[in-house]
Amino acid sequence: MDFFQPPSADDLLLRQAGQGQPQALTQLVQRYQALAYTVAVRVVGNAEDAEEVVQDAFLKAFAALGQFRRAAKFSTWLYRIVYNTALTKKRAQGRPRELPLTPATPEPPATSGDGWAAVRHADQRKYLALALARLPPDDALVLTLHYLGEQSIAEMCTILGKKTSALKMQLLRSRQQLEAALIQLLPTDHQHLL
Amino acid sequence: MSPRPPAPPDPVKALLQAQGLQQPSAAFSAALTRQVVARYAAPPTVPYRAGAWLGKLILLALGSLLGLVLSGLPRAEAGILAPALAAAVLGLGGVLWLFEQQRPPAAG
Repeated sequence: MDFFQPPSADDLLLRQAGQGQPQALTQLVQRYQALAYTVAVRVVGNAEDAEEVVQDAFLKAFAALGQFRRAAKFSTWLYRIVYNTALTKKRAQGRPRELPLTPATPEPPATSGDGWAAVRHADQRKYLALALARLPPDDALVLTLHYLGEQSIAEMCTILGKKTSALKMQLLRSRQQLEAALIQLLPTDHQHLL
Repeated sequence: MSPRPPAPPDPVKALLQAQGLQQPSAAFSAALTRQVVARYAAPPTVPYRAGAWLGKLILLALGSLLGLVLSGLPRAEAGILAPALAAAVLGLGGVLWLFEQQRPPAAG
């Protein structure tokens, strides 16, 4: 416990949430639901199950808010619950991961400069989603947490229950795989994307 | 010494951030918020009355002892000691305030 640091916005919200203030609870939900949902989608592979996972995890986490001892950040603790809930859901599914959130087939890549500009602005998301879908789910999740969720290596170790060295290796490998997938999707224009 | 040049932007990070997080539907988000607020019940705070009374008793005893010491001293010496005692009391109050600020949320 560091007495010399002022309480963070999270600390204040947690204190107010602990007193049952609806506004604080709402803010906490709004603040963390997007990354929680993205994590759940990466693990279970479809929007419907991901929503169920986020709902279960959030209700579980907020019911146990009193057991949160601040050994980690609240977000880290919450994402760990989301990740574990998603893993349980995935095991219960007992079937291969579906990927309805990504386009089925890519459009032919543009080759000219003007065409590329259109691809860059309009289809960037689609090609990235396709490239991420080609990665193993664990690797896509690691990239999402680190680059999109801006979670540190230490926080990711807590969330995923992995060791630092293993996670660093996985992150490096995932980057290389993503780049390879983009090269495969856009053989001539990938350098504009990266 | 020249400042270190800024690191070049990470293309993978920029690309992923351009894609953004996946957002749940607005209906789901609203329903989730409603459920969390409705189901979350802050536990009733049960004050530890014995502790509170004990604390007050100790403070009263300490205050009385300080008053006794100050009253027993010659006026000149009491004038010197009083600011030090006041500083000690304020310092203790500050520490108690910090503890109060850092106390984990009362939730069950």
